[in-house]
Amino acid sequence: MSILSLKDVSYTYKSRYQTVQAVKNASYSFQQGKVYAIVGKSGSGKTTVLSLLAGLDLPSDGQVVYNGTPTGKMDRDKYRREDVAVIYQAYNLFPLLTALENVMYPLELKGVKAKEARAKAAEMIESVGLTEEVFKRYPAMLSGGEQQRIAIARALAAQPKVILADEPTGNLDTENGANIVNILKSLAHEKNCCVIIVTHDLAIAEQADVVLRMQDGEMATA
Amino acid sequence: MYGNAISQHEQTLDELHASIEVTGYIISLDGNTQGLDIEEQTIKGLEESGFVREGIYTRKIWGMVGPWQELAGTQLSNKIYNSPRLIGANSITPFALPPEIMDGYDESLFASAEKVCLVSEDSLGLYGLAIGDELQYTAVSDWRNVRHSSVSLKIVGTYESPFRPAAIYCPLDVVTALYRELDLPVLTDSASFILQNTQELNQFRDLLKNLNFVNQQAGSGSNYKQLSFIISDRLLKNATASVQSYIDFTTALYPVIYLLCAGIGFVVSYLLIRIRKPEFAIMRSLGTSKVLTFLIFFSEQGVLCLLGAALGIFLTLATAQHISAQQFVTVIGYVVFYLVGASIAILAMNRVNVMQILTAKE
Repeated sequence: MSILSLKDVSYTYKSRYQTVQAVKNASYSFQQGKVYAIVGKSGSGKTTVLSLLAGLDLPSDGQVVYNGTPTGKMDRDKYRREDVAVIYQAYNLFPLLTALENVMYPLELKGVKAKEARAKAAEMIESVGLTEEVFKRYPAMLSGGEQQRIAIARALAAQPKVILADEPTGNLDTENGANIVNILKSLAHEKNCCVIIVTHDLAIAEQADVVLRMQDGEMATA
Repeated sequence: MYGNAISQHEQTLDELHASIEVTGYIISLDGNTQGLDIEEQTIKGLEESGFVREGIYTRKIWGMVGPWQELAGTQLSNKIYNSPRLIGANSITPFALPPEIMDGYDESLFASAEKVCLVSEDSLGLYGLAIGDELQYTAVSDWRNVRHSSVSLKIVGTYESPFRPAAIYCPLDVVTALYRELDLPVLTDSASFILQNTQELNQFRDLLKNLNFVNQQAGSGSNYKQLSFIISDRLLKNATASVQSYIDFTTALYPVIYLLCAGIGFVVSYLLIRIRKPEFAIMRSLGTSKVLTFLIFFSEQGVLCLLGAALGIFLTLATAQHISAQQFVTVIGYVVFYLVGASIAILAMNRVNVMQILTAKE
């Protein structure tokens, strides 16, 4: 059963000087327990699709539906707090919070008490292969691989059903990149998450269960 | 610094006003400072104005030395004309030369209601009196419907006078009591004042108009009974002119400085928020609502701003020992515009494309 789907989704950017249709009539249903890779060249509309799936934006036409409810008709802040998490190439951690505090943030946002959030965040950090040593370090004191693992731990903290990853290995070396992909795969296959990875790296795409190709805003199964 | 410069000059101005004595006196339109017949109500109005620190008055009454003598009209008028007048004063100021006062008394005797007097040396000889003797003085109301009242005064001092007959001086209250006994309107012969609140002399001038004082240059159109009030403030004006013009200039600049502070507050807060766009985007992507994001950023900026303002006030107090209302208003303006700038920046950030910020590739 699909957890998240695109139904004839189109998205048009309008600026003062031009109008660009970034996504054209995209339709697809994503299921739990699978890893999806969306591949395509720069400007093909991959990131726009991710933004729509994350509820950070609404389609110009069509619907993005999560568990039967269009994102346009739900509390999208709550959706991002509880149901979907996004991992970015640039990690996007809070620079002034420690690793542990970064992972605690989504938990505290959900109303989890500080003591419980701290324990849960520690557990999440350890689950991505990091030790207690990094808890009190600020992002700038961590390597790229460690920062991305913290970003994944933060994404997992709220126990989302959908994990969206935008070029998650883009800033990492081969070894660290492979580790991150393995973590994402295990989240889908062992934790029954729906993992959608946007990438232009075909090596990563090959490890996905399903590969979707974006070209000039149109989406197709590869 | 700007606020401190103004308040320091204001302090200097206050000190000048406090240290330079400004006097005023009542004068007739023909230039006399005595024999003015100033009504009791006018004196009361001046004393209650808040501008008079001290009033120096004299009040005279006609009469004769010794007991009442039943004399015919012309004889009586001649007798009174050739007798010394009794002048009540509340200060020793009317004397050109300091009088000689017997032991046990001093200049403060004029402020009392004690029945004592100072007599000219000539009069002592004329009436065969000496210091320490009692002098009986009989005051009369007027020439036609004569009423009279006597008072016994102890001679406690003498003074030199070129006039004959020279006046007998006693405390003001003694003469006032004789006026009351003779049922006469209490008129003051001369009045001079030490003024206070000299920063507000223009208000005092307005008040003088309400008390029916006229400009001495008013000219022939004025009633001869009308009085003028002269304020001797030239020394004060000379001393305060440069300080006052500095204050006027800096005060005129105040709106510009105020707008500059407000503008700095606005721009600083706006830029401080804008450079935190990535943090804002992360918060939004993690599901923080726009309202909560606003509150978090706003309260953070509010605390920073208030701490900065408190530090500024503390430093001002530490260096200048006080903070003026103007400085306080400037601080408030800075805080308000800082928070307005922060609000606008946060609201503007709420409209940005979160994904665009977060997916900016390194």
